[in-house]
Amino acid sequence: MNVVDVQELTKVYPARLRKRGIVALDNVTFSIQQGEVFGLLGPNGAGKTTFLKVLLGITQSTAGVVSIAGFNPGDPRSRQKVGYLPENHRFPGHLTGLGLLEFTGRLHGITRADIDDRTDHLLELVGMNRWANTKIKKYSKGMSQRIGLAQALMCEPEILLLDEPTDGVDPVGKIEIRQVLEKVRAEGKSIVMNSHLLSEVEVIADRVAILSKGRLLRISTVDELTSRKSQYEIEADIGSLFIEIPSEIGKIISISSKGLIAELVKEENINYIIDRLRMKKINIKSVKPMKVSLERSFIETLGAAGEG
Amino acid sequence: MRGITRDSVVEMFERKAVYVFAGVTLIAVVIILLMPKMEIEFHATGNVDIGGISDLLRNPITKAFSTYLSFMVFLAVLATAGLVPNMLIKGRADFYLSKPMSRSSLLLNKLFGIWMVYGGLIVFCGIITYAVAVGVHGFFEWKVLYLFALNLVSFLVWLCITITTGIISGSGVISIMTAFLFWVAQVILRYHEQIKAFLESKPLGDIVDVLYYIVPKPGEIDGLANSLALGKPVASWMPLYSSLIFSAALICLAVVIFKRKDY
Repeated sequence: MNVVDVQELTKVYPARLRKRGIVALDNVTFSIQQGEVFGLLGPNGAGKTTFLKVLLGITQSTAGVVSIAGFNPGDPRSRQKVGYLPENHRFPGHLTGLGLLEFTGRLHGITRADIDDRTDHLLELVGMNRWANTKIKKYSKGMSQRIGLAQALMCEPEILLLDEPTDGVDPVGKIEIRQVLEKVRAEGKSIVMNSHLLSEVEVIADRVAILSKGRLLRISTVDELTSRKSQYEIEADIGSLFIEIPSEIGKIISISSKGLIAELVKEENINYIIDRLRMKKINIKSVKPMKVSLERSFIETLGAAGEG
Repeated sequence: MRGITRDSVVEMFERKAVYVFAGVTLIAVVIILLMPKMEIEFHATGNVDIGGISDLLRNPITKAFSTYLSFMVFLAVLATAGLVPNMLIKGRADFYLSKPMSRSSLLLNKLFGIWMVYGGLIVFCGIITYAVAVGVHGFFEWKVLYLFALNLVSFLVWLCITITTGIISGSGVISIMTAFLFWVAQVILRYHEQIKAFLESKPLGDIVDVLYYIVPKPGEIDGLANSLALGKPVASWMPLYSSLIFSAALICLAVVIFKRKDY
């Protein structure tokens, strides 16, 4: 079941001094499934934040069809079970951390008893119980992010939208936030996150979309993006043996006494190499497709689109 | 009201506006306490107009109290002009707008939240001040309730102006400036008959007339409140209902603009 459906979404911000507006999203189409952790990647100005804002009805689309939790973003019911942590948020500074959670609960129409239950649990979850009665304006960036995440979880969301959730958070805090998100995922909830920290997205996301200048360049699973299916690493006791493969099969990129890396013309050609090694009585320990980091894949995707 | 009124109370204390109101009320109370007690001694014999004599006492107290309440409304307008723009600054608007409330509901809740909280503060300070005046001068006039009611209406009119301007401009300063322009306009337009006579042009005179009927008239609402509090007949209710119609139209405009705006 899709929790987010976007078809041919376009958003053009009117520009005062230019005839043509600024295109933030250009004919973007994709869906996000229930229980999925979805990463939105892209350089600055790619349209990632605009995308989230359109989903929440904070910004209105210029064209296209958008549905979130089965509703149009203009319908307040669409936000009933959606938690949102904005980028560069400025929560009302007159509130304490606890006050923010209570206020969020009331804005969601949650009963007093449920608010009390959830605030205790959430403050503990994000490690903010000690600072619950401190004014938000006195919080550090990392503390603000933590309390921001707690307020996003206040409505027990089915969909969690996070814009740079670990921005300004220290390394320990990042791990803690990731653990929270993994718990949320384990509950079958969907998470959509924008992040510049690709290593983080790589660890937690199931699928990612790469946006640039408002256009959707690529959408696929993290595995697909990071694996190099034509390249395989074979760990084997090759020793000083010389191995050669015909060019119609592929080529050996590197070889050592402990294994080799081959680039194949076709994926199934891996069997030819395995057969050759076994014929020579070489002990094969592992065969695995070569992987690149999400960051490298991201840069390559941008480069291929001429936007790197 | 989904906690918006309660949030307005917390925000009021945080912004320390309440201390300004308390300070002004304290000054008013001190002035009342330092004033010599007003007493009327009856030595006259024969046919004496008792009502006319008691007006000597009633009028200055009521008028002074009316001025005090108008000043409190003025303070409340200054204190609240920035609240809606402050709610919609970058990074904070996202918080409010991502909640399951329609924009119209959010705006109207905020309007009534501010009105109830700051209106309540005006009434509370007014009751204290009037109670002290009653205690010192031994004079109570229930018609003073008209002053409370109409000053609250006046505050609502000003709020509609500042909130609409705040939505359009996103600036508390521009909201205050616009409120000031409306105040100047209503003072000038109060003399619309004289202006018309001065212009000697019927079309221009008609424009002045139209402007007079359109522009809200909190100043004339104050006059109306004074008349009611002093037991004088009200010449026309037009300033009250035309101001309310203007305010309703303005807030509808604010809702329409707010619904269309991107944040």
